Amino acid sequence: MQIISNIALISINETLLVQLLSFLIFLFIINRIMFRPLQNVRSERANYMDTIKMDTRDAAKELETLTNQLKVKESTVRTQALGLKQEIEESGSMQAAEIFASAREQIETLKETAEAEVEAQISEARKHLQKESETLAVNIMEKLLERRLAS
Amino acid sequence: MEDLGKIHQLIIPFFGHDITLNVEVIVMTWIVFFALLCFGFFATKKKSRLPGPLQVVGELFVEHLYALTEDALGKELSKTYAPLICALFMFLLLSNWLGIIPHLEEPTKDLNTPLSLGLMGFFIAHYAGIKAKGLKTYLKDYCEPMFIMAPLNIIGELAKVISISFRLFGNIMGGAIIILVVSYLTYSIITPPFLNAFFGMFVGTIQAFVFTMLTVVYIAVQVN
Repeated sequence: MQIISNIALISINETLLVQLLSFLIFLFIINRIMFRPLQNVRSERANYMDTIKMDTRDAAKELETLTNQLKVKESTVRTQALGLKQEIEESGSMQAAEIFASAREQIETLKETAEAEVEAQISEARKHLQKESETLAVNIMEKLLERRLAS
Repeated sequence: MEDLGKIHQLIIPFFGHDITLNVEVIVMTWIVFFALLCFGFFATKKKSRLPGPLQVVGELFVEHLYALTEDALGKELSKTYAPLICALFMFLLLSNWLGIIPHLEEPTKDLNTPLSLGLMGFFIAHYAGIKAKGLKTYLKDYCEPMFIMAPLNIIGELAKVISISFRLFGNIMGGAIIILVVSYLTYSIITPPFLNAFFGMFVGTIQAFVFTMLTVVYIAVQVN
């Protein structure tokens, strides 16, 4: 076995077989350590993406269903609420009318009572005023005449 | 300049016959293999659905070359031949780029490398052809359009190996010689970076791609 130095731009020899075998060995190893794992990762990722896409699609469908259900519920509730509102408004207006009527009655009663009291007080005051005015007139006259008037 | 074409050969006597091995080429080839295996190992070391930078590069190679093979050979056959095509392209690419690094040489500069790969492609293509069409149809194809054309068809098939191998060898060897001559003429004062970039990277990439594509096409022609 020896190593020689040679000048040759083209030298086809047993190196060809060595290169071929080396490449086949390399192909076997790189396929095991790189291509297959990367392909597995890629397919795993593709599956994952498919699952996510399917999940997204399902979620979108579910969302649509829920939205529709919600819309139906909303319209039902809205109708119910509208009915309730009308009922409450009606009962409220009835109660208000009753309250107004009773208040009006009370006002009328109070007004009558107050008028009666005022009338009584006026008549009382008139009686009292007659006497006081007579006394006052006598007093004024006496002061003006500077003598007593016979009563 | 005196280094032009200088090689070291290991002579191993074997039953009265001398086995000659070109040492530099084998060493450089294994450097390329080692680098690629390291790359492959680190690219898949922490493989995950959310890839790291090395995994991205690895997946880029695998994805594109698998897609390329699938386009030419179909989905079923690409499963068998895509790893070969992928490995071939990666090996040729790095081999052609290796000359850029000082003291290292392109393994494809030696005819044994492209010729071995060309022969491998030839045998694989014909094996795939026989497997896909059957031996009878395969042999019948050589007699198309008429029986008398069979020798020409056989020569045409053999010429494919010669053409694919010598194209790669010529381009890489030519580039290396031009760089050597320019370096010699400038007394190695000026490192020719442009020439290295052109012949090493640009021509190297193109030739690696051409070789790989032709191998795929030869297989596809035989299969279809």
